Amino acid sequence: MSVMKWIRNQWDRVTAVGLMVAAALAMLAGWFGVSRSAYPAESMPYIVSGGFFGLLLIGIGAVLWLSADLRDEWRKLDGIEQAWRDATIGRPAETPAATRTVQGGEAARATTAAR
Amino acid sequence: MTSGSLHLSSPWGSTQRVVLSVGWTLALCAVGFAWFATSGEAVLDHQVGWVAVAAAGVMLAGAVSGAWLLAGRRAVGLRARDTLPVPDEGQLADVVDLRVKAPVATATATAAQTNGAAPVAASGMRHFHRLDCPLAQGKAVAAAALTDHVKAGRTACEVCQP
Repeated sequence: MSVMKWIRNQWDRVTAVGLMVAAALAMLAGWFGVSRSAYPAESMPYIVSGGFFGLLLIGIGAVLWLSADLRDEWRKLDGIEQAWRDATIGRPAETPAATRTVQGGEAARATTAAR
Repeated sequence: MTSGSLHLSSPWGSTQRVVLSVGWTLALCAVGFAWFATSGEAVLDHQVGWVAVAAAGVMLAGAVSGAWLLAGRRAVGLRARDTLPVPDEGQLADVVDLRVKAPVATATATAAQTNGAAPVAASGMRHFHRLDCPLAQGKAVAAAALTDHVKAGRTACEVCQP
């Protein structure tokens, strides 16, 4: 798998890491700015731009990373449901468990779609 | 996506995407504007209000992010609960039976080793009991003659009165 393809597949994790790095740089820059400021009023913009902005970037990066994990679980469930459907196709009578699973999957989709 | 035609491609719907996007945008705008405003103020008291704006932006981002993650977690959990195969009652009975069999077998072996009529006790116990006494259940008791229990300093249980 080429690097570009991997980056396209893992765009959320790559973005999360990029945001974390940017957050670290912003906080470092804010710290340098505050350390060179003689007056509190002079250091306040650095606190806002470095501290708050860095905090925001960390939060967004963390959400992206955790969202990627949830998407992975979602895809795994896609695969399981597809395999389950393939395994039950062509059978004259589905097992109760299989029937319940398919109905449950539709219920889950309906629940999700209603949101 | 293996079944994109049947499912949403992710645990989130369009409404949740819009809420997250708007929340993050507002948060970024709040922090950016607060930074711009504090840069133009020379008095600390005047800057404090803008710092509060930046803090509010961060809190807004945290709120929408938390809602986003909780919604995703819930959607995945609901779908997993409905999709993953659930063992039927027979399979469940087997599992429960396996868990129950070991203690039952142990109790049966203990009962077979002991004489049902003789009082039982375990080392360290101050009283001797009938085999079916509730105070003897679950303990590694052994049957012995009444005189042996008395010699060991035990007295009769007042519950089962052996």
